[in-house]
Amino acid sequence: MAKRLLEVENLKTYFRSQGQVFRAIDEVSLHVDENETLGIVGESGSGKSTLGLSILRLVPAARNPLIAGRILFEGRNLLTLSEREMRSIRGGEISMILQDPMTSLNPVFTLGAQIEEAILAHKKTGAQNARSAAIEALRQVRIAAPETRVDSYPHQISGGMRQRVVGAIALASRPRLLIADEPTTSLDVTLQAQYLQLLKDLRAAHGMSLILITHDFGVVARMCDRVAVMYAGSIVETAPVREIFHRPRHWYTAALLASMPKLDHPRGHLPTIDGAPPRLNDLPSGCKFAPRCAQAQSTCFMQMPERQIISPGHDIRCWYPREAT
Amino acid sequence: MMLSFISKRFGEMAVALLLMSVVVFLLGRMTGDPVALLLSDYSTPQDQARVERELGLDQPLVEQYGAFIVNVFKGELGNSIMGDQSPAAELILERFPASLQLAGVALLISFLIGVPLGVVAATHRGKTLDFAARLVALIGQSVPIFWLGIMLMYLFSVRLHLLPTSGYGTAAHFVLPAATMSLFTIAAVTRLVRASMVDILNAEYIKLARIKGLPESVVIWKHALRNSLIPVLTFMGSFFANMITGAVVIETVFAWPGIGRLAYEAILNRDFPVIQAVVLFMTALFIGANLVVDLLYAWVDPRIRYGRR
Amino acid sequence: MAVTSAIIGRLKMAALILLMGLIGLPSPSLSAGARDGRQLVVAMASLQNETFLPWNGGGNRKFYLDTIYEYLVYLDPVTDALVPGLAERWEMSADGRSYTFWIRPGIAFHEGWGEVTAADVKYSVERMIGPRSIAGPSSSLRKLIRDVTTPSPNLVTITLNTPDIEFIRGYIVNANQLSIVSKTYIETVGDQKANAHPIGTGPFTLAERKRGLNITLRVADAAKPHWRIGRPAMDAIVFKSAPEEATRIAMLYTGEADLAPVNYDSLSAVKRAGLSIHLFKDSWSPVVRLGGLVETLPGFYNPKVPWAKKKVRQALNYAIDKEAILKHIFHGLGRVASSDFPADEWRDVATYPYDPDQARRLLAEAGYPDGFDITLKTFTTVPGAELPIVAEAVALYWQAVGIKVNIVPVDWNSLRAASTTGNATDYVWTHRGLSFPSPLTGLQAGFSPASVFASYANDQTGQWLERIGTELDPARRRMLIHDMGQFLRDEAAAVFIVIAHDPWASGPRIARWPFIRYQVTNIDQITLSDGRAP
Repeated sequence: MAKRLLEVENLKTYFRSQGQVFRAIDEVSLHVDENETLGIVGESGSGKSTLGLSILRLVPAARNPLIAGRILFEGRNLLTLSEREMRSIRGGEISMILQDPMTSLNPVFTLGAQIEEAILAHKKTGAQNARSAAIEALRQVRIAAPETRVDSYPHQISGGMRQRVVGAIALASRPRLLIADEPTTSLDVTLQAQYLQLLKDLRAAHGMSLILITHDFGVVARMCDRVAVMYAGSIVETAPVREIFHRPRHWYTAALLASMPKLDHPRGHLPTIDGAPPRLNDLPSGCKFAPRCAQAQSTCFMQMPERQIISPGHDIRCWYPREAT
Repeated sequence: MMLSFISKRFGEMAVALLLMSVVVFLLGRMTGDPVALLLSDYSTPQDQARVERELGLDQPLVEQYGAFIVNVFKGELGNSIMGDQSPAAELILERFPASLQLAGVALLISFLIGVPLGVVAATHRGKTLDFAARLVALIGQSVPIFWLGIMLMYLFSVRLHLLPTSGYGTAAHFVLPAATMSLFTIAAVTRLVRASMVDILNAEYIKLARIKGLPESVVIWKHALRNSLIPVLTFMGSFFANMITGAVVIETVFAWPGIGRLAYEAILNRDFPVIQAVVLFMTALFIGANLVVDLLYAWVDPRIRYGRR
Repeated sequence: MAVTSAIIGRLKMAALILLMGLIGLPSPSLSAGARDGRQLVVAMASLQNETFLPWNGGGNRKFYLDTIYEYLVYLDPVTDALVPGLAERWEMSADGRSYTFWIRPGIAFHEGWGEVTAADVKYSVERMIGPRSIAGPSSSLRKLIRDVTTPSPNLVTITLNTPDIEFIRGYIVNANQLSIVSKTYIETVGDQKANAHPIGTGPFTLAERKRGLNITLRVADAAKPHWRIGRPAMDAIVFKSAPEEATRIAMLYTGEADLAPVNYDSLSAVKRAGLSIHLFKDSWSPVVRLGGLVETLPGFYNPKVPWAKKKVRQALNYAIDKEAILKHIFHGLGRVASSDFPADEWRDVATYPYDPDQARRLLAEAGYPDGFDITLKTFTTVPGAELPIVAEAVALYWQAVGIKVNIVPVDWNSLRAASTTGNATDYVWTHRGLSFPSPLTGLQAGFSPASVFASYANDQTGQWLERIGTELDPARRRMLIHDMGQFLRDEAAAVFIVIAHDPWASGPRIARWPFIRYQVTNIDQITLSDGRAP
């Protein structure tokens, strides 16, 4: 059996604002093994990004967060580490690629400077070595003429290149786990494919694990070993990628899959899920999806179902799961 | 690119100076003429005509202006009409170093104090430190500088005997005028840094910097600060203008031997050649300062492309 | 310019605030300040218009020049009598048209530029009346002097175009600007060099100068006493320009300066601070001058203004409680004026009493029973910082008799320019009359039909001046001056306010200061006390 790299248990990230509590992450449990890619899928606002930031303990302080639960990384609970220890985790052990490549790079420093900084944050080495390492990192993310590009500023390169530079920064210190938050959303289709391939290759080459946050099942199908589906701050279903596509057991997963654009759907006739996700400061007391669920029954409105394993590697939170067809 | 940018800027500078020279020339002539100053209390209309002739003031305005401009191009800014009639350019060059020193020290103080205050305010948003920094900024921008100057003089010179009241010469002489001059700018810098820092701390690249595992101090003082300084730089030109105009009052109060005081006394004496020269010089200085600001701007923010702004 | 008055306004306010601070708090002890040796520091409002050539500097007296150069004749600080200077003695011809001066032998110019001779005196006079001279008395002297001759190396004769028995008092003494320079030196090095490094015979010489900022003088010959004043009490005199009054007072207070001119406003604060006050007594007079009353110059006369009528002018005088102004603005120092400027000849000319009823009656008789509108311009000068507040007071009194006053703050130089070009004929303005060693000088400036500085002139004033100028008997001349003063008073040629003093303040080091009221400071003759705190 593969080795556990990350284990999140019962994570809660609440934001407090003007006397109200926003339950952005609500009792989330998941795990990532070594050399594994876990996809996290959900609509926007479901808490995917907050989950990534929570793992790195980088939820903005301005939002007044309250974080509870356990995040075990190689057995150590990240939530109890000191800020200094946490800093060596960030970038060094766990890294992250943010959604928007256009704004993820600091406009006033050269690409090289930004990569070198990431290297030097975790490794005592000379400026010259750092620079060669930066050039190497650029080469790895397949940037042409890295020796000259290293001195470019972010505004001088294209969006696709920028996202690869962000990748180079994230991977500069060879982290064990990479969290990629919608890394391709803002890229056009050909660049998306290229970038995903790059991530896949790098993951394999570095022997690291990947958490891929996305709303796109196409990406999931292409990249992931397992998938966790998020809805309103909770993970409602986790399963190996084949199972999700072929035998989704949660009604939400099924609805989400059904709304995915397919080539045989006539344009403009995407099936959608009726209703809107609940507000995070006013969550239903039962199953969060119940108000939108066609199958919901009275139990569903009373209590949130516990996580239950229904087959090896497949768990859901649903009172009345879909039949495995 | 850079060259055409600079030459374009020089062109703009020349036009601005020319316009300014017309304004100054006309304003000066409209508010009275200097002949009376040169006449004794016993003069006759003949004396008046003679002095007018000597100064060329009997010529039509257009010709006077023309002569003035031709001389400016020759580098002659005219002579003071007072006392031993020193060349105005000489007077300015004598006085300018002191003004530059004072403004330089004041600007330095403003940045050394204003930037950290702004950063602390932004990183402690809504907390006591933020409140304190904003209070300092509010006071700094509302206290009239002459009042502040006199109060500082009273406290530190008259009461405590710690510093000289006025004059120029030693480092101690810098303290009061520079402190007075910088207060407004400290306040302005604090507010600007705070505002842009608050914005920038939410930027994605700040998140990325943290993700890299950089210490918070590096994230703030390197990644966030350099970006926060861009709007501050934009205002540098106006800070400088503020210091030059503030210099008129501060240099007068502290008997500082700079061009602000030269301007003040020249205006009191209706010393046209000196007024014209000082104003032209200040205009050039102001435009020059803005040019420097633009170059600095380009240095701090590589996104800026010359000529396309 | 508006900017100027705004700045002045701000500075004025700043000064007041500081002074209130000084008044309100207990004084710390005065200190003499850390300065090297016996150095006297004088804080001046301005050194602008400074020059080291006597004929170059406009109308203002230059205190530093009086210590570098010397005069033919001096005024005694106590008796006001003429005492010999570079001229050992002098003689006036019987017709009052010719003056001969015997030059004192053995007086050497600084740095070995020879002894003072008749040729130097002739040169000095000729430069003073030369075409490029802009010194105060130059225009009058140009008209007055026919020629200067040197019958022998130690004799100078000045011949006049018209008789003037007070020529020496009026133009030659140290209250004027005719100081003696070295012909050889100036002709050798040229004006520019001579200005940068002046050579005179006075007790001091220029050591260092920063244009517009400070002038440092040092004793010219430390080896032997100066022939006229002996050994000065100080080794050096520094004139520092400090434009802001509050700064000057602070400098006195901290011992950074020993001497500075001050305003009446500051007097209580100065006293409370333990500084000494010196008054140049009867040295000036605030007055309201009336535009458009010069009948003799084309464009200067405006018969349409209400005050073209004598009764209106008298009413303007009766309407004002001058005693109250004296008491409240001038601290009761001085006296109510019956003349445009101070002169001893007019001490017994009756003042206009405060009589608003009489003022209303006169206005009605003149055809203005409901008063009229008047514009009163005001500004500050040195001396004369009090003029704007005087204007406020005058306006209140005039308003009480039905005259609507519009006060307009201006700067003196603009007003001066307007009034000397005939562009100030439909308003009135505050001004200050200065004291002259010979009152004729002031009368000529203010009332001569040919003077662009005249505020009231007609055929009658011309005739008065002619009679005074040509009168050869001193007593009769004084009488004529008195009578002309009475005439100007009765005509109400101006609105007379008070005869005032010019206050200066000094720190604890000044012991005795023999100044003369006609703006002669005799700074080189100040004696210092060694005491620190008083």
